[in-house]
Amino acid sequence: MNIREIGRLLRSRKISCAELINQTFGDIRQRETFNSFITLTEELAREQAVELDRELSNGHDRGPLHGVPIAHKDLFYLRGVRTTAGSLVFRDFIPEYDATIVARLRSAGAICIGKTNLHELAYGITSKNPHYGFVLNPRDTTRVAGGSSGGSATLVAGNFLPLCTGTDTGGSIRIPASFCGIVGVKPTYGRVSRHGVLPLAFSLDHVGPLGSCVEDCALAMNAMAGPDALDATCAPFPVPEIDLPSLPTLAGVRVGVPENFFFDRIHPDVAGCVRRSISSMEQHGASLRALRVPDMAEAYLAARIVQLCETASLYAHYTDQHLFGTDVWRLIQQGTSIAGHEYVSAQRIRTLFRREFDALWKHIDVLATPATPMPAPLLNAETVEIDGEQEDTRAAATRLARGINFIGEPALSLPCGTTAAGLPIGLQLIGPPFAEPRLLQIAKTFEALLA
Amino acid sequence: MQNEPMQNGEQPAETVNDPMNDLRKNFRRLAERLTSDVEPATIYCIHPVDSDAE
Repeated sequence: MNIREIGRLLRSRKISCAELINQTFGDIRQRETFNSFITLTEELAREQAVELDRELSNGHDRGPLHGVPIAHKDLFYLRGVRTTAGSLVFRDFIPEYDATIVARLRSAGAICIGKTNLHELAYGITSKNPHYGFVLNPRDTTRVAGGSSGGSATLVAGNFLPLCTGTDTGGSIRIPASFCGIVGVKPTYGRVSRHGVLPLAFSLDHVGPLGSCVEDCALAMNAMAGPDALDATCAPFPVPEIDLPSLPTLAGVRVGVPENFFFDRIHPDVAGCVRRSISSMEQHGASLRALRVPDMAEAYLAARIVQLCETASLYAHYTDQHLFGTDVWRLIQQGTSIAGHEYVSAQRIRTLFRREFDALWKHIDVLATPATPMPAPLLNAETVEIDGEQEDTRAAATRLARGINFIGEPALSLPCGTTAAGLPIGLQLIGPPFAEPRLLQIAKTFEALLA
Repeated sequence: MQNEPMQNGEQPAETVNDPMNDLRKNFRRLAERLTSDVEPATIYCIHPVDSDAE
């Protein structure tokens, strides 16, 4: 069920918030075998549901999220509840306050039922967490869910919840959304507060929703987005409410189709499916503009330098290797070898890319690309073969996503079909800074046309 | 319910096979080529405050 459907049941009194929460926990106990959770917050959720039922009885409706069960990635501070970041470093960490996003979603009526599993420290794309279990893909449990927001994606894909929160530093919302066949939105850098969210790389981290459909993500964004005095990186200008009557057609929408980079070395089923989706957009009125995009391989390289350095600045002082999984420890150590001048150079390159993308947006409304070059890899795959070439799994999964974190543009992954083997394929739509309302409206229209 | 850390946690066989030497060498070449005339570093002000995207 999506958020609108849940809302209809609650407001017609066919089910109460408390009953819905009961059903949700029952369903989780019965079916949840994907290692999606690190902590369940059953008592808190039940208390909140009773209060929200009381409010509805008294005519107080908080809006579309009233009574809707959700879960937060276990990076988000929830006051009094252990927040581990999927790491042994934080295994006993209990925050004394709520993340801004946790508080905003609660205030909008959403009921948090738990904290979701993730790639350790959010530093990876498989969610094969050595401490809290490997997150399995509900579409095929022999495959990874993707990450780092893997638990959040599996709960939505497994129809346990309509909405979860995630973070995206190099693709960590869009990659699991693509692998699991759901919608994941990485907003513009600065659109959503990160106060109370454990960081991975300060200038690349983004907070966003993973939902069962575009509208669920839009409703979440309406509650989440906006200035926050507690987060100095949060953009100070106000947010228009995302109102989503889908358009009857895509007439007037200018869709950029990259001639370079984004379709290089792509799994043939993914490339075919995404190209067919783009053609379908044209059949429904969009005008396609083939264009060359800035060199995203260079953006990817510079973004890696930034991420390695910024993450090392957070964790380089830890000396006990046993606190970390092998992959995460190695990445932290690698980050310590990068010189300060190299970090600054990478940030200067970022300025160049920002300027180039600002010029691009004069000609198009959205850029359409694959979200990932391949479908979900097998659990034990250290490399994947794409178009006859072997590629490191992490490098491949982040190849089309990481550069967008570098420039800060909003981007989403939307399911657009499946491979011959039945694995989900994600279409990535990228928009100009702070154009989430338009981006989500285009995505919703396309989603409706696909259906 | 709390999913406790595994006692003998299996380490995932995820590779990080991008040798730092190559990464840094490639990046230095890129930086030399691109950073001669760019603006100062963009770090925490990615959002263009004069955006007319809305």
